[in-house]
Amino acid sequence: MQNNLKLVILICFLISCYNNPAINSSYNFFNVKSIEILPVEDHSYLHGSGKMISNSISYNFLKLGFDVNEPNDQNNFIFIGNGNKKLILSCTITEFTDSELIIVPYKYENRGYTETVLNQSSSDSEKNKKNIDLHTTSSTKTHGGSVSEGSKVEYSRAKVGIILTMKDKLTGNLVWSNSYWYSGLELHKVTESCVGQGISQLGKLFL
Amino acid sequence: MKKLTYLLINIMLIGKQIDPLIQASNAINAGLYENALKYVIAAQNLEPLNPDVYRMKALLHESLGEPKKAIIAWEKCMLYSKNKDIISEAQIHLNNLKDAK
Repeated sequence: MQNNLKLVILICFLISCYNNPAINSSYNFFNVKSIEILPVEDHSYLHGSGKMISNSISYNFLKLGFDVNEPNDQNNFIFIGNGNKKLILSCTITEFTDSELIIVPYKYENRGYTETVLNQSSSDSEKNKKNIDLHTTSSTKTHGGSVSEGSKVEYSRAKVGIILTMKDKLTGNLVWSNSYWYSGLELHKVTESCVGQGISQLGKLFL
Repeated sequence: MKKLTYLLINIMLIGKQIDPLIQASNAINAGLYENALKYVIAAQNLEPLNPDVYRMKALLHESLGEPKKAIIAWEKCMLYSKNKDIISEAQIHLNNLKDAK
């Protein structure tokens, strides 16, 4: 019960501290016609990472129900509505790795145990069957526990981080920006989840 | 002397086989996530308060496409961890998994 209470308090605290995007509150997002997506530069760790992120951005917009246009040799466009403003979305990859080493200090805890032996015997009286004598003896042994340090456990995981920035094409004013990261065991799923978080939050501006 | 060395190596190998977290990490590194999960569950029984075990378990559930189980594991990871980075990671995963529902 106390643990559940701690969990609820912790979750409430963290939700209140959750990283919110920076938004230009005076900008009218309902008057936007399209978003131009600038090419994403590769992260130094992996050639082609920019293309992976770029494809994932288009995929996630499409998934939200927006029209996506990918003309040859030009930037991708997302069609938002019937307004007259155009936005430019740029993405910077801050982290892109599939081999971040996680080290788990491993301790083996032997909590010990208690052993109780219960002996019960009965002797029936021959003269009077109703009288039954019960003899009970018990012995208890307590074995102390121990904590022993095991070897360190290592496994690798993928981690992807991005910064999304959106500005007005005409004025150059920054209207929205946020950073995201995600971790997992498979790079493609991590990429998908990381970009998905950002586009999902961004898409709410226009829906 | 040779017999003693052999005995020591055997003890070390047997010791490693017993350790479920080592088996789990080996299975993860080999991409055998279902096997890894079995070992992590065994490790969880030995160390029910270790947040790293729950983090590993949650990551495995996510990779295996089991978001509900992943949410439970991340919540336990948050509950038992005192490390800000791990708590932050758990929170990000929880937000993402709950949004995806």
